[in-house]
Amino acid sequence: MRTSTFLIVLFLGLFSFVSLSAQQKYTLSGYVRDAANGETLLGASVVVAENRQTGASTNVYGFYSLTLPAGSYTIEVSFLGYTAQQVKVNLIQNQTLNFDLAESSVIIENAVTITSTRQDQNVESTDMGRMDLSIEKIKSLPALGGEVDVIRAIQLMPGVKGSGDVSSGLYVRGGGPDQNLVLLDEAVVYNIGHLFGFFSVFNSDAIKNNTLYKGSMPAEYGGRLSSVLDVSMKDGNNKTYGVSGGIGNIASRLTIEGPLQKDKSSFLLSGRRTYADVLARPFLKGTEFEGNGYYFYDLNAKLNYRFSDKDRVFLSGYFGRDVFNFKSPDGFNLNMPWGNATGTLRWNHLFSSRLFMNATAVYNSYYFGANSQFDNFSSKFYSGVRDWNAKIDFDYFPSSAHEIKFGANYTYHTFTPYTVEAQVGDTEINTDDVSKQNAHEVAVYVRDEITVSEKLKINVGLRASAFQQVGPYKAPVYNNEGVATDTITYQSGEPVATYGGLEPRVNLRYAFTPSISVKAGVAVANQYIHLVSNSTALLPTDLWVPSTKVVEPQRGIQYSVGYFQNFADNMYEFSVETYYKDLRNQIEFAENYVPELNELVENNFVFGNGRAYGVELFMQKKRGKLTGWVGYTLSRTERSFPDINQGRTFPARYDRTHDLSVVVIYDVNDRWNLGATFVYNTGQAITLPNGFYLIENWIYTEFDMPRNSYRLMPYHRLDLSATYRLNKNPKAKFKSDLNFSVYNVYSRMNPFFLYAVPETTQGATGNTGSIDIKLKQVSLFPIIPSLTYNFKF
Amino acid sequence: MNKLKYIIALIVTAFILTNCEKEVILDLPDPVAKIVVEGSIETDAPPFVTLTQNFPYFGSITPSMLANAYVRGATVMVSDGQTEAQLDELCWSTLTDAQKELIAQLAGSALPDSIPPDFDFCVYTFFSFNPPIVGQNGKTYTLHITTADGKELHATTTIPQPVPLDSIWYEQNKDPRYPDLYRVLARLQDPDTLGNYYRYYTQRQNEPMYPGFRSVFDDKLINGKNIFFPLDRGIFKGAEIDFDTYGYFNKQDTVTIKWSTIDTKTYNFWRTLEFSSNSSSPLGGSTQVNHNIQGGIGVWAGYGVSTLQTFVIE
Repeated sequence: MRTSTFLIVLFLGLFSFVSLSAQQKYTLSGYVRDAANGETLLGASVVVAENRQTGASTNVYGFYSLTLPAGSYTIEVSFLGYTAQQVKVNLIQNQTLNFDLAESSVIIENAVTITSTRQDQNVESTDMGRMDLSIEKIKSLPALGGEVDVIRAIQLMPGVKGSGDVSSGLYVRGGGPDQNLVLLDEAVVYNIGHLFGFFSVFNSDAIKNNTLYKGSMPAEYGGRLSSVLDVSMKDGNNKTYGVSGGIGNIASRLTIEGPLQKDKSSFLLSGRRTYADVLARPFLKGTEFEGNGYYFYDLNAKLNYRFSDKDRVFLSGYFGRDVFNFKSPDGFNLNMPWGNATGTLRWNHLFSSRLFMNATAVYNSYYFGANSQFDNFSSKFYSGVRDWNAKIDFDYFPSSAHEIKFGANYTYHTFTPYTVEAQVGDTEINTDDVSKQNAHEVAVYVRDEITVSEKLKINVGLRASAFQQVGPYKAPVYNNEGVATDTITYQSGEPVATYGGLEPRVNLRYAFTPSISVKAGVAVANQYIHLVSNSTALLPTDLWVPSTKVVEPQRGIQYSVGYFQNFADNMYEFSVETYYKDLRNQIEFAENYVPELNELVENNFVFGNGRAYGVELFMQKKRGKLTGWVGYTLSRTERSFPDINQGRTFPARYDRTHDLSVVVIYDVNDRWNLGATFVYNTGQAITLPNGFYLIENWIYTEFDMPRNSYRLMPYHRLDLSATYRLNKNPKAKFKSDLNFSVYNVYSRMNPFFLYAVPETTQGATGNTGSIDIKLKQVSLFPIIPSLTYNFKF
Repeated sequence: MNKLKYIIALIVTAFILTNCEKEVILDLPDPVAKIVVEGSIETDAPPFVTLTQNFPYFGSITPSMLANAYVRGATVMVSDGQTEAQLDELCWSTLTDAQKELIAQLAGSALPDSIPPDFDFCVYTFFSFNPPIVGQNGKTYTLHITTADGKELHATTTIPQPVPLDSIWYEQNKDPRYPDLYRVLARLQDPDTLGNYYRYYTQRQNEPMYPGFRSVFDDKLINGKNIFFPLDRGIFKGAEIDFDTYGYFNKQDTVTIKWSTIDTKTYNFWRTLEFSSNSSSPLGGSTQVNHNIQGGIGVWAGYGVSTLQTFVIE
C-alpha cells in the first residue's frame, strides 16, 4: 500500500509541475499521413529544427501534439522510407498542421528535401526492448513457401525465439508462449497460427505496422508477462481505388481498398486462402480420399470515416478459419474447424489540441471444434475463449516536457473448457459437470514521459489490475482419490475467485550525446489468463484458462539495462541490452499428465517459479542499398517447481544459450531486390528415454534423467530470396513482381523432436526374435523453393 | 474420442513424414537399476507376480537377455488381511515336462508348438490346485517382496466389485474393401457412483489375451448411464498396425472377451503407461508413469473379472 501512496503522490506532483510550467505556450498538433493513400503514419517524428531535442512523435493513430513557447520555428517531419518535410511556423496561437509525406522513391516537385532526418528514435526514446518492423521490410525477407510471415520475421530479433520450423511459438526473453499479448487493431488474438503453427494468422497485405515490446512494456499494455505485439491493420486508401494481390505456392491473396468519400473515408477488404484442397478435388473424385482436405483462410475488413479533424471512427474485423475434413472408407467422418474472429470499433476524438481520446469496443473469440460421426456414434467436441472488451485511452500533451497517457480497460471473458457432446445410439453423453468459466478483468493506468533535461528522460507509469472469476459456475469437489464427489454451485455474477495487483513501470534514458544513450527499466506485470502447452508446437487444441481458486495469477518483474549508440548520421544502430526476469506462479503440466477431455485441465497443473536472464546485441544498418541486421542473444531460462524434477531447477524447454540471426537485404537496382536470413541457435532442451522395462511382454520406455538435461542438435538455417520487379517505372499504375524464395538453402535436417522406437526383427509374440531400440530424429522441412507473383494497381 | 486424438496426431505426423527421419546415436546416462513388478490378482484366481530388472536403453535385446532379466530367488508374500502366504517361484527352464503340461492346463491353453532354446519365463504364484489365497471381490491385497540381495518392495491393490457387461455382439464392417471384418460391441450399465474403472482384453482362438492400445477407461463421462461401445481387438504391441483394419475381428474367429473392474491406482498406472508408449510424436513428451509399487516400478493390480465370454463370428 505504501508504494501505491508514494506513486500517487508522485503523479500528483507531476501534474502540478505541468500546470505551473504551462505559461504563454501554444500547441501545434495534427496528423502525419502518407501523401499517396492517406494512411496515417505512426511513430513519425516531428521536431523543431532549431532545437532538435524538442519534438514529438505520432501516436498509433498518426496524431502528434507539440506545445512550445510562442515564436517562429522550423518544424521538420520525418518517417523512415519517406521524404522528410520542413515547414516554417509562426506560433502565436494553437495551430493545426497536417503533414502528407511522400515515399522516398516517389519524386514530388517543389518538395522540401532535406538530407539530415531524425532517425535516432532508438537512442532518443525511453523505450527499451522495442522493435518496429515495417511490413515492407518483412516482405523483402525470404519466406517459407513464399508466405510472408510477420511472426517469423519477429523471431529474427534478438531476445525473441521461435520453436524451429514452427512459426507460432513465440518465446520472448525466457517467457512462455502464453505470455505474449498479441493485438490486431486492439483486439486480442488468442491463437496466432494456421496449419498447426506453420503459418501465422496475419495476412501481410492487410497489415500496416508491427511493434513488439519485449520488456519494459508501457503501462497502457497489460495482462501478459513477457511481451506485447501490437499489429495495426491498414486503414485503406482514401484517395484512389487500389487492388493488390499475389499468387503463391501455398495461398493466394487479394486486397481491395479505396475511398468511400475522397479524403474522408475509406475501406479495405483483404482475403487469403490456401488452395491445395481445391486443386486436389478433381483428382480425389471417386477415390477413397474424396471429401478429405484441409484449407485455411483469412478475411480482414476495415472501414473508417473522418467526421472532422476532431472525430474519426474505425470499424475493423478479422475472421480466420482452418478447416480439416476427413472421411474414412468404413464410414468415419470428421469435420474440424478452428480459428479466431475479432471485431473492433474505435472512435478517435480530439478534445483539444492537447488531449486526444480513443474509445474502443472489441469482440474477439477463438474456437476449436471437431464433429465426428461413425455408425451410431456421433460426437461434438469444442473449446474456446470469447471476450467482450471496452477501453478508453487518453493521450495528453500538456507541454513539450510531458506526454501523458491514461485510460481504463474492461474485459468480460468466457472460457469454454474441453466440452464433449456425444450421441451413442440411444444414449447422450456430455460433460455437463465441466461448466464454462466467466471472468471480469479490469485495469486502469497512467503514465508520463517526462523530459527532465536534454539528457534525462523518464517514463514512469502505474497500472492497477484486477480479475474476478464469477458464476454461474459449478466447482467440482474432489475426494482424496481425485474423484469428483460433489459440486459447489455459484449463482450468476457471484464471485468465485478474486485477484488484483499494482504494476509499476519505470524507464530512464540518459543521453550522453544525441547519438549515445544509456537506459534502464523496471516493469512489473500480472497475468490472469494462462495457456499451458505440453507439445513442441502450439496446437489448435491448446486451451486458455482463467485464474481460479486453484490457478493463481502469474506475476513477473523484469529489470533491464541497455546501451544505445548510432553511427554515421544514424545509418547504423547499435545496442546492448541485458535483462533479468523473475517469474512467479508459473504453470506446467504435472509429470504424469495425460490429456483427457473429461476434466478441467487445471487439475493437471503444477505451479512453480522461473527466472530468465541474458544479454542481447543488436547491430542494424538502416539506410542505403544494403540494409539489415545482426542480432545475438546469450541467455538462460530456468524453472523451479516443487513437483517437477524432484524440486530441482531445470532449464525451460525453450532455453537457448546462443541465438544468432543475420538479416541482409540488398536493393541491387530498379529491377532486383535480394534478401537473405541466417539463424543459428542452441538445440532445444529435452528429456530423453534412457531405460526400458517389460510389462505384459512389451517394452516401455523410462525417462530416468533430470528434466531437460539433453539438447537437440543446434538449429541453423539459411534462407534466400530474390524479387524481380516486372515494371521498373515507379510512377506506373500497374506494378508487379516475382518473388523467388528458398527456405533452408543447404537443406539442413534440423531436429524437430526425437523419439524412441523398438523395432522387432522377427517373430510376433515378443518372446521370439530380437528387439532393437532406436532413437529417431524427425525433421520438418528440407530445402523448399517457392515462387510468388505479386501485383498492385 | 480416441479416434479424434489419433487423427490430430496423424495430421501432425503427415507433415513430418517427408522422409525427414534419421536414426541418431547419443551417449545417455544409464538409468538407476530398478526392480519391475508385474503382479495381478483376479477374481477366483491365485496371484501371479513377475519380477524383472530394467534395462539401459539402446542396443539389441535378445531372448537370452530377456531370460536373464528375471529376478530370481525373491521372497514374495501376499496377504489378504487375514492370511499371508509366500508364492512359489516357477521358471520355465527348471520345470519338468509334466509340470509344463500342468501349467498349460492351469492357464487354460495348450503348450506352444515351438519354444526357442534360450527362452525363459519366471513367475511367482501358488503352484497348487488348492492355493491358500485366491482373489475375492471387494478385498484388498498387499504384496511384500524381499529380493535375494535385500531390497524391499511393497504394494497394495483392491479387487473392486465387478460390473458385468449387459451384452456382447458383433457387426459387419461397413468398409466395402474389407467385408469379412467384424467389430465387436458391448453394452454396459455403469453404476450410479463415480469412480468405476474398467479394463478389457480380447483373445482370438488360442492366441494370448491382448489388451487394446487403450485398454482402460473411467466413468467420468458415462456415470450411471447405459451405453454401448466398440471393443477393439487387442494386438501384440510390437505388431505393425494397419489403421484400416485395426480393432476388427475376422470371420470365423473364436473371440473371448475378458471384462474387469480395477481400482484408481491400477487405472492410473495403465492410463499413464499406455499414453507414454504413444510418445512417438511431438504430442507425447516425457510423461511419467504412475507406478503403484513402493521401492520399485510396475503395478500390483486387482481385477474384478466378470465377463469371460467366448463366441464364434459367423
